[in-house]
Order: sequence, then C-alpha cells, then structure tokens
Amino acid sequence: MDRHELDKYMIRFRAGDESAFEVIYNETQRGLFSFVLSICKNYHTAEDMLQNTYIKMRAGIAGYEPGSNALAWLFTIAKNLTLNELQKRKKEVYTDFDLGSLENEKKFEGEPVSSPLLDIIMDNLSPSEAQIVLLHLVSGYKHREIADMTKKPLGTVLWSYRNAVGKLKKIIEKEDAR
Amino acid sequence: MNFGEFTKNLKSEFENRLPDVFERVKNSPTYPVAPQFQKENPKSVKSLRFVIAACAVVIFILAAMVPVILYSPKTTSPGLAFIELTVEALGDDGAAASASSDEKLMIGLVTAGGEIAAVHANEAGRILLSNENLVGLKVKTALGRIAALTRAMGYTGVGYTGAEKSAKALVVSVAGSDKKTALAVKADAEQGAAEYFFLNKVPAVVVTGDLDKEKLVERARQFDPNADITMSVAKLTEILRDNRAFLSSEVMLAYHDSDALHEMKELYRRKMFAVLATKTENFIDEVYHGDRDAAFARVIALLNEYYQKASAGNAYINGKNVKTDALKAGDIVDNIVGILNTVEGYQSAAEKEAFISFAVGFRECLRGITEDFSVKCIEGKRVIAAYGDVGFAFLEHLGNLVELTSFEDMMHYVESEFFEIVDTFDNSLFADAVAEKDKDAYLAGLEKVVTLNYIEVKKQAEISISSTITVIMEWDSLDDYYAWANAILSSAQN
Repeated sequence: MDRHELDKYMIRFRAGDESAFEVIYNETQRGLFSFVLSICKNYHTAEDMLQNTYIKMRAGIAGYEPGSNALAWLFTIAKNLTLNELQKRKKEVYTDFDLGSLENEKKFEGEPVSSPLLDIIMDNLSPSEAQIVLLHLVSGYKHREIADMTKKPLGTVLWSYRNAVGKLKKIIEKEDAR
Repeated sequence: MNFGEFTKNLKSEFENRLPDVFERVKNSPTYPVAPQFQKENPKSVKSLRFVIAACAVVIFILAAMVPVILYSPKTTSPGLAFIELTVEALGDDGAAASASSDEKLMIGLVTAGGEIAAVHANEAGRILLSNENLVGLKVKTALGRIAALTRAMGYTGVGYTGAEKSAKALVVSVAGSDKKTALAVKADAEQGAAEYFFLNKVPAVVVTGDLDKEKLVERARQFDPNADITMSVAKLTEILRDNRAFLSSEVMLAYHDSDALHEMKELYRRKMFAVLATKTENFIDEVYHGDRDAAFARVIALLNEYYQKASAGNAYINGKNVKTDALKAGDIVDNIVGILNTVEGYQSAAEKEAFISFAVGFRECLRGITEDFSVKCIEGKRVIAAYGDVGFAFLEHLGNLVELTSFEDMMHYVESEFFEIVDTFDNSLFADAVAEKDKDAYLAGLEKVVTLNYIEVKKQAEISISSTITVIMEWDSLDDYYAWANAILSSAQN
C-alpha cells in the first residue's frame, strides 16, 4: 500500500471508520515493530512500544493532517515513545539516529530478542543498520521510503544497508564454514 | 545458507515473533472514551458540548480582538496574515549575540503578500537598522538587507553595550496562524537566506516558526536527551549547532561556511534531481507515451549495451578508454552525453534525442553530486552522507546487489552506475583495489587520498582541519577525528 492509500485510510479512521484502523494496523505493524525493536533491542519492550504507538495514534488521530506522510507520523510517535521509555529507564543510549555512531548503544536489560536470526542482526549490526535491514528485508519498504520515514538522507540509508548486508554475509559465511 | 535463504528465514522468523497487539489496542481504556460516555450519559454530553461550544465562541471572539488591539492601524489592511518573522543573532557560543533581555533582534509582522508590515526591534536591532526601513520590503529582500548590514558592521555590530559578541549566525524563524502564508514566507526566507549567504557570507539558520519548535526540540533531543520544550530557539539551535546537526529540507542550518557550502551543494543537487525528474518524465511521455515499464526496460537495455561495449574495451571518453585508462570525474561528468552517444541500440532518432535530453539532466545532476568529491568540508559524521552514494555504488559493484523493482529504483540504479564509473576511474590509487574487488584496499586507497589532501592543504594554508579535509570515515567524535588527522600529519612531517 502506498502512502496515498494509507493516507486515505487514515482519513477514514479520523472520520470515525473503525474498520480503517484494522487496515492501518495490518499495513504498518511489521514496519513499526521492526523499527522499535531496532531501537530498544528487547522483544517485550518493543511489543509494549508497538501497542503504545497505536494507542497514542488512536488518541491523537484528530491531529493527523490529511495528505501528510502517515508512516512518518507513526514512526515519529513510535520513536518518541521508545526514546522516552529509554529515558525513563535511565539507560545510557545514544539517540543520534541520523548521524550514526550507534555502535556503542546498549541494549535494554531483560529478555533479548531470542530468535536466532533476529539475534544475529541485533548482536552484529548497529541500531541504525538493524533498523534499515529489518525495514527493508522484513517489512518490504524501499530504501527511499525508509529514508522518508526515518528522515535520513537516501545515501545514508543505502550506505548503511550495504554495510549491514556486507556484515551479515560475512557472518553467514563464517557460520557456514563451521 | 546463502544470503537469500537468510532473508527468507529471517522473514519467517520475524513473522512468527510478530506480536499481535490489535485487540489490546482496540480494548485499551484510553479509547474510545468519548463514545462510551455518550452512550451512558447523553444529557451530560449534550451539556458538555454546549459548554465547550460556548467557550470556543468566547475564545474566538477574544482571539479575534487581540490583533485589533495590538495592530489596530494594520487590521484594516486586507490580507494581513499575522506572520511573524523573527531574526536572532547567535554568537560563537551559540548564545544570542545581542545581549538584551529581549533576545530577538527584531520581529517583523508580514502581510499575506509576503511583505514586512511592521518591525519591532530590540536595542541591538535598532542599532543595526538605524537608517533602514524594512516596511514594505519582501521578506527575502529584507533578510538580504539585514545580512548586508550585519556584514557591514563586521559581524560584531550586533553585539552591543559591552557584550561585543560577534554574530556568527542569523536565525530566522517564521511563524503564523495562516499556515499557507507562513510556508510561502518561509520559502521566501529560505531563498533569501541562501542568497545572502552567498552574497554576504553570513551563515544563517532558517526555521519554520510555529511548526518547528517542536521539530527543533525533537531533533535536539536526539543530541541531547534533556533538551527541554521550554528552551529558547537559540538554545535549541545551539545544541544542534554543537552537534553539527543538519536539519533536512525543512530547515536550513548553515552556521559554518564549509557546512553551508555543503548545504548549498545539497540544495543544488536536489534542484538538479528535480530537473532530472522532469527530463525523465518527458522521456517517458514523449517516446514511450507514459509507459514507464517500457521506458525502464529500454534504459536498462541501453545501459547494458553500453557496459558490454565498455567492458569489451570499446568505449572512449576524451580519447581515453574507460576500461583501461584512468579517468577523472570531470571527464565523466562532462561527457555523459558523449557516453550515451556511443550507445548504438536506439530504436529511433526520437528515442535517441529523448534519451540524450534525459542525459543532459542527468549530467547536471551528477555535476552537482560529484562536486562533493572536492568539497573541502564536513566533519567526520557528516561525511558519510556525502560519500554514501559513492560508497554504495562501490559496494553495489562488489556485491552485485542491484534491485530494480520500480522506476524509482531504476533512477537510482542509473545514478549509482554512473557513480561507479566516476568512482572507479576517479583515482588511479583505487584501480588495483577495484580490479581485485577488495573493499579494504579500496578504503585504504581513499584514506591515502585523504591523507594527501590533508598534507597538501596544510601546506597551502593554515585553514582549520574541519573545513578543509575530506574524510571517508565515520568518527565517534570530532576529537577522535582531529587526533587521527594530527597523527597522520606528524608522521608525514617526520
């Protein structure tokens, strides 16, 4: 579903059409979940953040401006909620998402992702790289869309993606060699 | 397991772990509160609605009276949109350069037509504007005038009464209740900012007032989690400035000459991309009658043909063989049209003409981009974006990970393929690395170039490192970068 179509559903939902929410949810949950997961790297926290994002979105739907980028709006809500959560827990986490340097970002304490391939991504890629890889490979967004949603330059997104894929390939090769 | 299988398994693993919060969200007590309330207490809701409506009317009347009270002579003027244009001057330290209780140098009231209707200036602003009347001027012109005055006063005239701070940046913000007009004024202000940067070398920050304080806060929070909504715009921009933040297309932050230069190049590049997009549309419409897929297929076919020719050693630019001779970026940029002229698979003269026209747009676009090769700017973190495309093209080349699923992808493919040529032949230092498909050697080559640039620059002039070096790595901090650069310099000098 492209952004214009999503916008139509947002407008419908804003007008009170509850069925539109289900469509919006189904269209965006993968992207949002991978997005928040890449920030907090903790399954349960990500789940909470996903839930809170939709709750906040529903509560604030009146403030949605028709014609604007609904995905970017949702991602901003998700990012702010997750960062606030990080703040609340007083964990030291870089929040410089646009300029990189996230290598040292720490994970939340608690249960990690606990899924072999997702763990490979979370353990070996920076949050920014993990975010782009998940949004692209898992959620199927195009690089240009990711750049739009995450407010990063396209070149940076592409660069990060290629870097990440390079890293993953090396890891896969190593695993295969074992 | 290859990467394809990894991706497939990852998708399935992700799907299995994807939480379903739909029901929980729907049943969340935070929503829908109002409908439930309405059902149980319809009378209360009605009376509540009445009270809200009455309050709204009162507020509306009061709000309408405010401009009447404040700007009574102007309210009779049709089209006054109450757009505020605020100008602040920031000093070296990011704090306001005008030491006044009122930090704003001036606040202008702008008409719906984009003209200054009234100006309120603080003491420093009045000194600056002593003989100037901005009323009636377009925003762009007014900003140009302000910048020229700032420059004429040696950048230091803005500070006063002992403060004597030099103004390193003008912060221009636009706010207003009429969003459409505010955006138009903002565009005008941005244009003015861009022009006066070039004309007067005064760095500038343009923010879009009412809609952007939030954005500034959000952005600043990325750098400083404690950034407070109650902070002044100056404080927020200070945080951003200290972090060398770049505020996307909505906000132009150009507080440093080199950064501003880069920013200008970005704008130029975007503009050129717009030209390219137009050319592309024409190409599709004129020759392929709007059939994007057909156009897409032809572009790929033509590119393939060119690459076959090039890899067979039969493509020349400026008399140099693109396979065996080292080419300069300029050779490529100036000869994109020439390259396309060497392609022989055009189906008709019209197709060739349209494709060449497309290439002209592309060449201009590429020129805007490749100038980044020599942009002597950018501190560590920023550079990754500048080199992102180039690096990407190289990695794409190595990994052969071309994705061509849409017209947009195709556009990007074209872009990166040309980058690849530029990149590959730009410097002989990379030739071996490229031939061996050795990324590490390639990066080492780039680093070598960086080092050479650095030494050369240091020899030529005592210019600050940050504004003169092109680097390729992402540094954790500027200090790390300086340490690295200094180490390289001392080892070279020894």
